[in-house]
Amino acid sequence: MRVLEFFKMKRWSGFVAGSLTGIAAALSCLAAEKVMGASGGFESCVSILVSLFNLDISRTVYFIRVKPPVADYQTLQFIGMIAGAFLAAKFSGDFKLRWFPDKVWLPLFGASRVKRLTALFFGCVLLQIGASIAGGCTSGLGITGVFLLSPAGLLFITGVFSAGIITALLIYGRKY
Amino acid sequence: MNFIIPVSVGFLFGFSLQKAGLGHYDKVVNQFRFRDNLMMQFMFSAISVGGIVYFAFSDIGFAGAQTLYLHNTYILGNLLGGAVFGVGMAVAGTCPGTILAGIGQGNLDYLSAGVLGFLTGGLIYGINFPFFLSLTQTGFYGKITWEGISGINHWALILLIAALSAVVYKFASAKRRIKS
Repeated sequence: MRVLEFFKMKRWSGFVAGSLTGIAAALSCLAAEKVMGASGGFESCVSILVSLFNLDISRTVYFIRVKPPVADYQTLQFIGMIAGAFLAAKFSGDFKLRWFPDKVWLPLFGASRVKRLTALFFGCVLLQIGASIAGGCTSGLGITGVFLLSPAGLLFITGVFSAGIITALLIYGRKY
Repeated sequence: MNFIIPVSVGFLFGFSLQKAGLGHYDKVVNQFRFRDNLMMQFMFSAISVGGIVYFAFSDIGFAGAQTLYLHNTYILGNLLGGAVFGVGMAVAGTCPGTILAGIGQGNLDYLSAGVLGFLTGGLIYGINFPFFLSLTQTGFYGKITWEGISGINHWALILLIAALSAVVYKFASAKRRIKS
């Protein structure tokens, strides 16, 4: 009964949820010798699509050797992530089909769907390019990289927070 | 290929991200505004606990060759990539992991424009790979660790990271209270 209530809670603290994520990240290294991450999965998806449509670019070194068109470890991890988040949201009643964020975005930027989708699109383009240059994202470099004691992890976090804070200052201005 | 491990790891990760609330836009952008330190709390806990679990098992021989998965350090690329990533994160209010948590909780903007953005970004990177690769050549040190550089034992280092992150978290939370 207690266990069920724990799973039905709307929110877990960052300590609890973060600790569980840390265990998952450590397990990934120990049991599969792979890094728990997400940006690499999107790279594989691009490679699969490029090869599916038989584009000229699919015959370059990058799409043949660096990111071959196969569903790799992180791509399979996507299935688990979406399923896990879906169940978590269902348990707590947080699941809802929504087109834009009702908190912060709606009161500040209004209910324009085009505005939200445009900002999100360009933001995500930058996220993937940045992650590919750096060699990982918030989970791969920011969590696993840091606890494996790789300097790359700390360099990445420094870059993310410096640029993120400056960008937020520019976007929110007086409302920062 | 074995799919049980990646799917289970992903399940635990996605479940935790959603339960923490990180599938929501406000939780991510409010970290950069220091109005909500949830993301910091989540990441610091994951780093500290992950490191302790990892080294406890690797010390008794459970981890394979670390070179198989340890990240490459290349100063310019790690920093610059992080900066580009940070701009995107503050604009989008999500990141590659939390977008999947958001999709799982029903965010249709993430599923449409978000996924399309990630695929476009990946395509731009792939097409211009020779150029982006050149960015990783400056200050390339490969698979190094703080332990190898300093000679300090990994347990001392991971406990130092845990202690430092607790201090940073306390400091950031105190500052927020003054502001609001």
